Amino acid sequence: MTTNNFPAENEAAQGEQSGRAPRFYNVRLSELDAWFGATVAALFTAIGMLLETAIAKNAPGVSAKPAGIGALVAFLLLLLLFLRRKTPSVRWASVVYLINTACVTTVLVLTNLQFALSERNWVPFQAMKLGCLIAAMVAPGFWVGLISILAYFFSAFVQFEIFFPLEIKAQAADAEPWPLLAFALAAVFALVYRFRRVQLEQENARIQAQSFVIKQLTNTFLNIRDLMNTPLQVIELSIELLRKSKDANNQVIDRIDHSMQSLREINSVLVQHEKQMEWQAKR
Amino acid sequence: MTKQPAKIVFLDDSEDLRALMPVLLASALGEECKCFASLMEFENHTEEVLRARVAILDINLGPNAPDGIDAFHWLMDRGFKGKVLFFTGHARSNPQLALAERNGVAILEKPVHPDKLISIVRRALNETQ
Repeated sequence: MTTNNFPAENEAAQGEQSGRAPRFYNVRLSELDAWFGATVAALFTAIGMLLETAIAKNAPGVSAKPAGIGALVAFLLLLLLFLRRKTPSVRWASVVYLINTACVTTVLVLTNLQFALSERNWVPFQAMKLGCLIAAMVAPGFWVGLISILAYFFSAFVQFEIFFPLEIKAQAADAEPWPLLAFALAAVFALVYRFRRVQLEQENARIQAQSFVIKQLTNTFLNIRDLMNTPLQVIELSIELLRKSKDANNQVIDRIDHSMQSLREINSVLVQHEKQMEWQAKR
Repeated sequence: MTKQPAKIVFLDDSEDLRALMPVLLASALGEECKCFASLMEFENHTEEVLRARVAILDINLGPNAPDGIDAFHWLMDRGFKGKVLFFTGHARSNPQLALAERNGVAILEKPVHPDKLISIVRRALNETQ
């Protein structure tokens, strides 16, 4: 009975495990990876906003204040990430990342039109497009990354469609919003690819860990059988010699033999399980 | 008159098996079986071992001790002409054992029924006559 049940139990366990395996959009990065991604994003924003402040100071009609505040917020986020680096968490990394995204989009929305009016050769929404790609590369979670990409895309798109004067549209942003859309789509694909790869790596690590446990269990079974089989052999030989002796009590020997048969059956069950585990470990 | 050397040698770390095997083989086949507990004991009786016609070798001879496979190589290196039978608790797990099996070495997985054991040893003795 036990032997027959074992494969079914195995398959059920495998089914359960494969059922639990997350899809790429539900893959959870390690705490450290998520923390590192949020830190890189905050650092990138801090440096980018400092550069933006310097550029804005030299551009007539462009306020440096939003970028300055953006840099301050980014440095505060960096400080928070640094102080809590010993206890990283995916949730807090995601929160920090989303605050960072909100900060960047707000600053860019406030300064885009000023740059468009001030600079004759302004290339539209460069920072937004870069933000989409950075989100694909370092976002601490799939949904956080997707929300960030959509935030960059829609904030630029809405600003372009509703708030940009027609002459600016015709002069500086003739081809928009298509390049913006192309960047956003590329970023979404890159994000999917990244999390799909993480999913495969995690699956691979899980299989390796499972295989290791099965090998350990197989070795334990082998050791048990090795320890058990020599005493069984001693009993087998003893029964045979007792049967051949002149004053053999066959009734008693039959009882021993009957018990021996039960032990043989237990042994054959162990052999079957052992073979299955060897097969599982080789997969 | 000099005593005939044992036709069967048995290497096993189990004291109980070493006590029972000679009795069983003597009663069933009328042949003497000389028992050894380790490869070192084998080495101390090299001449006697090499003159045997059947060597029954346990694989696991205790922790950190040379095993039955080492004993097999020791026999082969010294030109043992007889038949080797491996007698083990888990026959299929050792790749070297599988290799030996492909080269015609019989493997008996414990616990083997005494009748089967006797018949295999008898056949091995007949083949080496």
